Amino acid sequence: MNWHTLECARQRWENEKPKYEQLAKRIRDDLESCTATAGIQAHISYRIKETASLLKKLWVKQKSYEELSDKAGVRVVVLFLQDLHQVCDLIREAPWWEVVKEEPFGIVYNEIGYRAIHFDVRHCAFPELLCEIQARTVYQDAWAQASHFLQYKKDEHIPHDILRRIYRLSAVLEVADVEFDMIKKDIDKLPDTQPLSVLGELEHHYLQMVGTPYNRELSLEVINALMPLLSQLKDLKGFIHTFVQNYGARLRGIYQKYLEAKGLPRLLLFQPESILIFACFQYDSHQLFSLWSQRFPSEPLVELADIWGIRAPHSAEYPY
Amino acid sequence: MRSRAIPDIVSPGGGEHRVQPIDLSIARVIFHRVPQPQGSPATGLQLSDAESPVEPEHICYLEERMKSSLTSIYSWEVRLDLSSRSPIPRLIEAYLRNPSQDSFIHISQECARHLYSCQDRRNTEGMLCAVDCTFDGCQAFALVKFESEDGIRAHAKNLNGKLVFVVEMLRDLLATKKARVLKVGLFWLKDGEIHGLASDHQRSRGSRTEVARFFIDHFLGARLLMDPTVATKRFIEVTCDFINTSIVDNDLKVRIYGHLVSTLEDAAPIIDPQGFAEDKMPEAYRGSYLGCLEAASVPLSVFDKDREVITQMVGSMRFQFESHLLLVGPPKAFKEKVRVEQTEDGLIRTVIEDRLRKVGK
Repeated sequence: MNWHTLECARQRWENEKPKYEQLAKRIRDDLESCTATAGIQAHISYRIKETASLLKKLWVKQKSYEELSDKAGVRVVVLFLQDLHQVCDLIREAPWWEVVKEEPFGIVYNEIGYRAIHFDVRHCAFPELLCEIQARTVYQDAWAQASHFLQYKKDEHIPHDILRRIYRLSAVLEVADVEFDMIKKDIDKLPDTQPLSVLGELEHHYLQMVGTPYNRELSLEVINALMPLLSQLKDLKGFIHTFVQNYGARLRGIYQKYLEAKGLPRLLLFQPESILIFACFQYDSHQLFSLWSQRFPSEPLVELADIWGIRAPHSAEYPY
Repeated sequence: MRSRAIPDIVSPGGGEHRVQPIDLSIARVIFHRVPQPQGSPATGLQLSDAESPVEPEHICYLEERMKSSLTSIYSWEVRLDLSSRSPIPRLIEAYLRNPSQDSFIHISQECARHLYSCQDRRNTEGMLCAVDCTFDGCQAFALVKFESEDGIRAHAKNLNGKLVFVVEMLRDLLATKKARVLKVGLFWLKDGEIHGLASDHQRSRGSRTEVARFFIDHFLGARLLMDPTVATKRFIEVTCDFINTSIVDNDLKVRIYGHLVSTLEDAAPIIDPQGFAEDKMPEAYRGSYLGCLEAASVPLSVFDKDREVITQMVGSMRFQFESHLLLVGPPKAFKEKVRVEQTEDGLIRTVIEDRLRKVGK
């Protein structure tokens, strides 16, 4: 690697950077779309290599410009291992790109680290370019961030006692990931009258339709308050699913409209339990308002009634 | 009480009372200022020349206010009366059958001129808003009369290093959240016919006063779809049938029937079926009761009371004795089951021939 080669690489990168940025943004958008459709909560970001970083990598790795496959990178971080497996399947099966290379999941038993899975993909809109997609859980991401800071990669440089501590730590993170995954599966198996299970069902639909951040504590408080009404339904998940099937277009229209109306915040609208409330308006609005008024002020519920277009009981209406 | 078949309504909790939400989507709006008449024609009338530029949040807010008005107890199904002296029915029909941007502006201006000409000093001045919209996917047109309000606002300010709340007047506020019911007339074209919904809280005082009739009858040139005589009769029939056939507990039957009679005989010029259900019907029966009313095409919104119908169907006769004994019942029952005689010493002998259902305290 000589200076001339590096200088050529620098100039070439400066010319090609905008195109790689478009590529990364496109892949980010495609991934956001397919994870939302699948109801997976994921944080997706992209980055383009800084020029200095690219040149340093070329120098250190002694690779050619063409061999560097991570000039553009997209990172998908999910909460649970089961979501990670789903995301990997989505990446493999996506219609917009071809997976050129996949680094396998897991590590050799005596290797350091708790690594994520990497894909090199070629997007159909940018066939001459490569982009790296990294799929990780939050624990794998934490490990990657910390280990990058510690600047180690090979264990022959590290004293044995420190090495042992690193192995222990990575094992702890891996166990945490597996255990979280199993806990989630057990929660999903709970009877659907349990608030957590109800919230899980609502989150799935909410992520598909909107995916904006929400307050989980508020969601559980609302669902708990409505349990006397919800427990009357034989198949609550089926009730929610049927409602979303019948009114999905209407729901999406409302969410889209209010996403654009930024100056008109509505407390409960961008929360997963808004789907449940709209469904209960259709089922038994009187009992809903009655239960609600025992715990909460009526105004947020009346706001949702106005948005949906049904009558609030006149006792909940403001006096004229 | 005549019995009648009631549709089967399944009642898990409140009952499967199906609700049809209002699906309203505004495309554009135009505002005109319509003051009270001031001497020479059209003095003070300010007509817009173009659509009002509005942000998405304004559209959402206006939709919410309109929906809350049109779903309130002060809303009615109406029909445009094309033979009315008001030009609004013909203007709206022309627009719905052939909507365009130019005609939207022109028709809204004509509506504002008509409002100005037919108002008098009893009507509050304000803004008239014409709305091009869709209702349940159908082309629609609405007129909303806004009445201005004044208010004050206090906001924190740092004055000379001290926190004070500074007060300022806010004038010409429209459609504040506390004003739940606006005057709205919404009309849409479906299957070649024009349908309508109108709301006006002043109409709830009965249709006898000019102020009550102004917005829907005189300005919009519309008439209520449900005749008060028919509505009153159906309400009484359905409610009595429901009490007879759906309520098992006899004490509860008597109590609810008493509520019904007092509602029908009180001084209010209107009947509010939704309010009756919420205030007088136990929660367990509410949903199925409202379902029965809806199935029998009884309007759930407020309608005018027809007292003649009430007298014929429900009027009570009462015999009250010095000993505080009280005999109460419908006239028909008195006629068929009660025999009244006067004894030799001037007392009244009352003979009731009927099956005894219950003795209680």
